[in-house]
Amino acid sequence: MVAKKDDHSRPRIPALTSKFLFFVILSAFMLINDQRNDYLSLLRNSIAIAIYPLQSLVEAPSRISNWIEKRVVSREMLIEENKNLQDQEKINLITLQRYASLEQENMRLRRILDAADRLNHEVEIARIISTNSNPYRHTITINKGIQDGVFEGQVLLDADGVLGQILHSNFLTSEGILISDADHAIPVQINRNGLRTIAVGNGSFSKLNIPYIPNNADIEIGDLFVTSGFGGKFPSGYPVAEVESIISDPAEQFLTVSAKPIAQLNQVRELMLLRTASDE
Amino acid sequence: MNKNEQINKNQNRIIAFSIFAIAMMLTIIPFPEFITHYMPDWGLMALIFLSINLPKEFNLSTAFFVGLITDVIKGTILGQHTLSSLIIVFATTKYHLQLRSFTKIQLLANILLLSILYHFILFWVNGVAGVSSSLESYWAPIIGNFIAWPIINEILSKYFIYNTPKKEV
Repeated sequence: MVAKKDDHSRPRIPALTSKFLFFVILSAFMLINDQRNDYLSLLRNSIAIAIYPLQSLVEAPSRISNWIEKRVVSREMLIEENKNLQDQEKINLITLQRYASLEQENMRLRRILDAADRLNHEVEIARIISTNSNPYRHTITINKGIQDGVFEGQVLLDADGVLGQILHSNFLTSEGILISDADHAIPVQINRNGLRTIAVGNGSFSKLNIPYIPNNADIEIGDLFVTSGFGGKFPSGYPVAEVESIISDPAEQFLTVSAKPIAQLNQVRELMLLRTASDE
Repeated sequence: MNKNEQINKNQNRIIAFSIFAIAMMLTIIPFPEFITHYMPDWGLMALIFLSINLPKEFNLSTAFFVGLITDVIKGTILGQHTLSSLIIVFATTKYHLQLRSFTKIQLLANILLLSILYHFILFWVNGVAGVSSSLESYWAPIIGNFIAWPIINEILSKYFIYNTPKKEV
């Protein structure tokens, strides 16, 4: 098929400048409103639905190859059973994470009375359908949306630890932000002694910054940071990161601490959405 | 004559729509980490090409929608890519006759300038909105655009042949 170029007889485009002004004002309006209020979520949702076919098309090759792989290896029943078991295993791992941190709590005789009923966190499995191509925005798109009960601020986990949270939920898909995004901070505490602080992403998948640890604080390499439950977004007790390096400069007020995220931030394809919101 | 024009218009629309669909898919596909910085702005490339060659059919409203879709795909502030696409497409549409008469090298130099402007606007909006971004995310796609444009232009021109009879011009 061949397209035909415009002829040159009437090169002027009618009303170009006024159209330009109109659209620029429209986009300025969007720029101003998008971060401040919720008026534009309907627009974002409808565009997200419109591009969903493209996203699934892009994702199709890897899905088809996965599918063929599974068919070739074993029979349908086995596949189904295997999948269920895998899902179950992930859910079990999550529960185990909670046990590890609770055990620590017991050892320090700081058990909180209502700790027992915080154990039953339900999770739901979702798949990542695309990641952001901008290396400084660590956001992902997952295949569950408002339709499946995903809400803004919902916590994302993988089998090892906290991945991030939901940024926007559209109708069929949702956008999540990872803890390594440079604009993301998560309230954490050291599992060993309960020292509370904040872990801030810095745009690298393998490192989080812990900016506010005073010079005389009790912190060692290998300490585990778990979510502290403060701030109302993340429930307490999930592993976040492990201290990797501590640099002490007497001239500075704070230590320079960097930690390695426990979750496989750039390797997961399947993740878990915590059904319940924060427990505090 | 009129019927022929109508057929051509429909054909153009179908081709342009598929070009945009492919550009958006390329935007969605995740690439290896070392190359993601350098990925060209596929949507912008398609917009520039179409607004130079078919400015009456694809100008600002197309830029608006493509920019909006790019915003949703990239998860940026709504209006960010929209605004910068609009400004670029306004320039290319307004001066499409000059741009068509340029040699390939001249055109490439212009594309370089336009993508610098495009990324400057993105960078500026990020700064105003307090979204952190790196210096590399500013200049790397410009290099990507610079390398990709000749290829994109070649491929699209080949399948997007101009057969306006010279005497009618």
